[in-house]
Amino acid sequence: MFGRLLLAALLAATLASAQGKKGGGNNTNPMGEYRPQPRQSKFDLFAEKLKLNKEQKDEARTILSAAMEESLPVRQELEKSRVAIASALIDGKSADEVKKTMDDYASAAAQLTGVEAKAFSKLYASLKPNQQPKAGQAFDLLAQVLDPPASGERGGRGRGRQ
Amino acid sequence: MFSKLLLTGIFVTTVVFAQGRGGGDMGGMGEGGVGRGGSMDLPSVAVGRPSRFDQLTQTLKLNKDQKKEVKSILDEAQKEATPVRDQIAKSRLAIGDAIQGGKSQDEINQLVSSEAALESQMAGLELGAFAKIFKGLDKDQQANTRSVFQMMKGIFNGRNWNTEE
Repeated sequence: MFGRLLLAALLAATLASAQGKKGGGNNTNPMGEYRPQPRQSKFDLFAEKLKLNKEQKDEARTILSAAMEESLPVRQELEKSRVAIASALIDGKSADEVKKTMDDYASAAAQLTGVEAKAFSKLYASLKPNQQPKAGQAFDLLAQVLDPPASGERGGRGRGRQ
Repeated sequence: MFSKLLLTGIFVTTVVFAQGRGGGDMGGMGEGGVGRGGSMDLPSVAVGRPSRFDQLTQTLKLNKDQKKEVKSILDEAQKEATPVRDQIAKSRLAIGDAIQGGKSQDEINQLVSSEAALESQMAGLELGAFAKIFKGLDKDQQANTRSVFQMMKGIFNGRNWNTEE
């Protein structure tokens, strides 16, 4: 419920920003204050990297939405593991106990990357031959598409992606 | 015990938020639209945000000595994280290449496991830094570390933890 409210607020802010830009023509709001241009979405960057056409973008959205759904319980496991690691470190648990929490994290991370790899394989299969060379490089971007930062966060799951 | 209570609070908030993000209809998003359950198309807007260090300072109301300590902890962790970050990038590239090259599922699984081990190592560095910061805070400050815990996720993904890249 809380998350939905947040998303609604985000959506409202995004729409307001888009409407403001339509009538403007420059980067200022009606009060003359500077409004930065929104950056390209992660999905747009991903689609651009693979040079997807409109139909392929639609298909990609479907594939990635399914992957996002599938990854949700795994993300929750990752969050649990992060809390467990931090708890163990703060409470001064033994090296073995800390290692166990990190192994649990690795296991959940492998599941998540597995979901991403599966989604990427589907996407790759839908590419035309001229889009396939170097497509593998887009795999890293896929994690960013599937892992949008939560409110207040700047990074996602914490991969080498910036 | 105190940290357990605090971290449980962090977890509950995180999971609630994750559920909000993940549930519901994610398909049918129009060009540039935003779905109810996900923000796949949501453009990120860089509004003149304070640096991470400023956020930490303000959130935790750090005194002069604590500021110095926090900066030192994060600088040190960033140094350790840099090679791990590079390895993760290489590892993810290898997975993409393996899929592109039509490698077997076993081979892909091996690459996925290796990448996950690196992810775990990075999480250890992020949360190790968090634990050190946490221990250097007083009780009132510790009770206010929820957003700091969230901030640690991916904090060393760039070259400098204090700037958004």
